[in-house]
Amino acid sequence: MAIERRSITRVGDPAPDITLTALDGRRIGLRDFRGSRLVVFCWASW
Amino acid sequence: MWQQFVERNKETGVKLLSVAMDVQGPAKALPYVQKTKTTFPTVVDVENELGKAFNFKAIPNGIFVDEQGVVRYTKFGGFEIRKPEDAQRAEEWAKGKASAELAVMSQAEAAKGMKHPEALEFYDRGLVLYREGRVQEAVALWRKVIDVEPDNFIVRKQVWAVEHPERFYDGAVDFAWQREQMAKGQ
Repeated sequence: MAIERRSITRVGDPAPDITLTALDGRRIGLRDFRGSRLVVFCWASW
Repeated sequence: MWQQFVERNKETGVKLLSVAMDVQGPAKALPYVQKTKTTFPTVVDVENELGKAFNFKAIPNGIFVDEQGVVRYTKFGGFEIRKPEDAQRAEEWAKGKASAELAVMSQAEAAKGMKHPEALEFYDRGLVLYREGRVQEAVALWRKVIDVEPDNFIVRKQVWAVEHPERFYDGAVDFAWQREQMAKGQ
């Protein structure tokens, strides 16, 4: 299986265009927050 | 506590996105969120898309993105709203603190990513198998990731949570058990 070489997002780069599913089923993308300052907080139940 | 942050900084217009990094899906994250009502969304990153995009291996994380969609600050591992320095950073960000200073601070929190060339392939193939219900084969591949990237705690903990759900999802997370596992080289 060929691996695509992908670049890593760093400070100064545009945020990745990622869309994830919320607990209520809505799809929310990082792009949806354009126009505001955003804090993304990643955590886990483990 | 993040809810308090959002309320305190309402006038700044800052937005918060809470991301649960849980390969086993929203059902696992849900109990942790339902305890408090929040005005910000919580999403579940079931395929570690953010982890792969930013190449982070530890949580909890903070990622600050500006109005134009540019990443201005990252801290991978140990970022918590209850820590004064992290709360302060988040508040200053909300209030419009200059990006350049935050970029400098980010460099000090440099992410450690998957360095081994095959690690990412093992991880992605494991995910495909997991989605097909071939859990043992998935775990075998994820263990290969851990072999070559022993400090990748995201993958290590996912394996533990899949193999020993009772240590994670039935009430309090059993951190003593996790410490034992580390001591045993699991």
